Amino acid sequence: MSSLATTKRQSALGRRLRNNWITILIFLVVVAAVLLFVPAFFQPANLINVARQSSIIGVVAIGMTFVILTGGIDLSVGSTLALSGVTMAMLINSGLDSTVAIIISLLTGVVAGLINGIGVAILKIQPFIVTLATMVSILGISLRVTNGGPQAFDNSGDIFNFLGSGDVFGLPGPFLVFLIVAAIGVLTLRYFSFGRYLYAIGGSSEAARLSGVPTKKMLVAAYAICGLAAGLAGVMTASRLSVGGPTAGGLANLDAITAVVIGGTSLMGGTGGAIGTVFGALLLAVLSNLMNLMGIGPFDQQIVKGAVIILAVLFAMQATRKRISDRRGAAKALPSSAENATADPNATPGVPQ
Amino acid sequence: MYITKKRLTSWSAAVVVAAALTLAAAGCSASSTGAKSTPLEVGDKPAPSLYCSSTCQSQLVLKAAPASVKCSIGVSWSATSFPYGATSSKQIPELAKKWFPGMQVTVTDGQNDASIQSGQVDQLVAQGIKVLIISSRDSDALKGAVDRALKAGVRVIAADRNVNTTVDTYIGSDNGEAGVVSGQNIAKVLGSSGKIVELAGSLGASPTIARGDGLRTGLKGSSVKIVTTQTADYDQAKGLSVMQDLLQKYQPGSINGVYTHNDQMAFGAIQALKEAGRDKEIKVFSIDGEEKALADIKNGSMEATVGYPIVTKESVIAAAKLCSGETVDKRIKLDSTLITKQNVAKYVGKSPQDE
Repeated sequence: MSSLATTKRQSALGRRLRNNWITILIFLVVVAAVLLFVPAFFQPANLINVARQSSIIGVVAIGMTFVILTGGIDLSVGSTLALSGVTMAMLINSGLDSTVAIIISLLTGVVAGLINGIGVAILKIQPFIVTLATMVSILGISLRVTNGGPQAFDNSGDIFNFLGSGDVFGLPGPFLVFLIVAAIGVLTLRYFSFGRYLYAIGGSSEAARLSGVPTKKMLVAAYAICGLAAGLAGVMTASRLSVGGPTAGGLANLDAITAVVIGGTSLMGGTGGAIGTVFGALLLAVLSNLMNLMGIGPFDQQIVKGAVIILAVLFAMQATRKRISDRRGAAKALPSSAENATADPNATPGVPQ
Repeated sequence: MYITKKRLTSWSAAVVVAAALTLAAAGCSASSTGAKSTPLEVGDKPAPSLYCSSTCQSQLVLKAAPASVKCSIGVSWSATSFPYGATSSKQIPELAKKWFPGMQVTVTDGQNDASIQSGQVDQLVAQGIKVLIISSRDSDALKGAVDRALKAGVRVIAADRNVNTTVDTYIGSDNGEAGVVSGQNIAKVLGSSGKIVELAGSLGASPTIARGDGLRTGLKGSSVKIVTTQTADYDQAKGLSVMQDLLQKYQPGSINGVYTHNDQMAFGAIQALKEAGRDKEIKVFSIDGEEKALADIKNGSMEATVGYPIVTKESVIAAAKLCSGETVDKRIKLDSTLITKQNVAKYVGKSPQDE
């Protein structure tokens, strides 16, 4: 056990690369092809645009990773994003201090997430259904409070500039926010018991519960985090546009789920992680930017986007399968820990990412 | 780490209560302050809007005394999740209350689903309405329900979007014509050097097709070129990011105009132009005429928009006419008004999307 654990620890970076190699490979291949065919892509101004364009879906997708790792899903993030943006715009118009308005908007996201979490963990309703219902209701709340119209507000403050349009050290503010959120996500999922518990719940909720994981609490927390991320994305969107729109979320839920899945996190839960999601979100932004630069027609863009998603997921699935078979191999060598390999994350040799 | 069931229940109950309170608080504070969608300022006497030409006005002369109009009408809008639908569903009952105290109005929201809307129309008919104002989700899918209403003796007004059957009247402006007006203006402003990009609305939607075809008709005979068309789904955020990409592809000097299928996408495009420092080089031409677009025209960040007016006043007056047994022309068309810096002052505060 100890020798194996040491080897694993030593090659942590290598393993992480191996686990994500397909996504990274696709990313690199795309980059190489682009170098050849679309040199305009690598102009700094364009790269900054892409970074900016990936940020909002990226933030939502990091939150979504927490939920999907537990084997759940959150369809309500787009509505939550809109509600949070609308809340912020209206509170600022009512004369409230911008920081307080932002905090209340983020809390709106947390509350939406808590409701989802309670529905899933305590009322035991399927995540798809709970979040489908909240998706509809939350959109209704946004439309109700705005009478269906976008809410313009003054976004000239420093904080909005940072969250929306500004640059820090030459990097777009929203992209920095995305990177910070991603870093927090990666650290939480990798190094905190909370993160490890989420993997355990995704592997087998019952086994996790039997080995003492407070599954309900953890699930509620995962959805709350997802809601918080969606709320943050709403604040970012509104800061960028100086408008809180009740229908702003659009298809953010599907884009975020796509980013998570092409980042190698399984919809079945238990495997994957936040680093893959970062690449997933970047891949989506790069893809749409590239197609615009290449002048691909709007109809063809949709066809290509769908095909790329399928390919990326196929590759990601293969990588996951390999990871699982690796882990089985390791588990066979360790009969004592094989039984609850997924249940107790600390005893799991092939710790995912 | 075990939590007893009892503790868990009380804990979750507390969270639910807190959640509900926070949401309610957010909702209340917001609704009390932010719902500043232009208060309706109309005269006590029924009158059509600024965008109803003299022909249109002559079609909407009510012979009966407003106080004598007594009947129940139903309003069936395709959806209220977009500003046009939301404003219309809100204004019609308000106008009716103000102008015709004897008119009872029931409003339904089709939630962007033709079958839901169809069921709602049946229900309105069953309730015994005399006049139906319908803006259909789909001109074919709502044909059945509207035919059933007509058969039951209900008079039908198609508002903004027509239904594919013989209704009493169809009131609205014309998406294709709005595109033509904008195209002719683009040809006039940009002249022979014109090279524009087109930000289209949602693919396959009928206004997108009409506004795109209209542009091409309007540009006929000029040498203005449409260098590319991309969709931004009528969405401001997408308008911004697609325009950023297009500015990257078309370096300074290669385009001098952008045509957007609605004002929301134009707002995104304007932001992209300003951030890239190319707002002086590229002119923005749009459709709709939101209040904010008028402000943008005034301050020079938008070159022109073409008004796509709401038809609430006209619909209510037509409903009153039908209630009183008067005849109404089969087609009442509102203007596609070109709004530029020269004439914008006339429309500020009375934008096509509110008035």
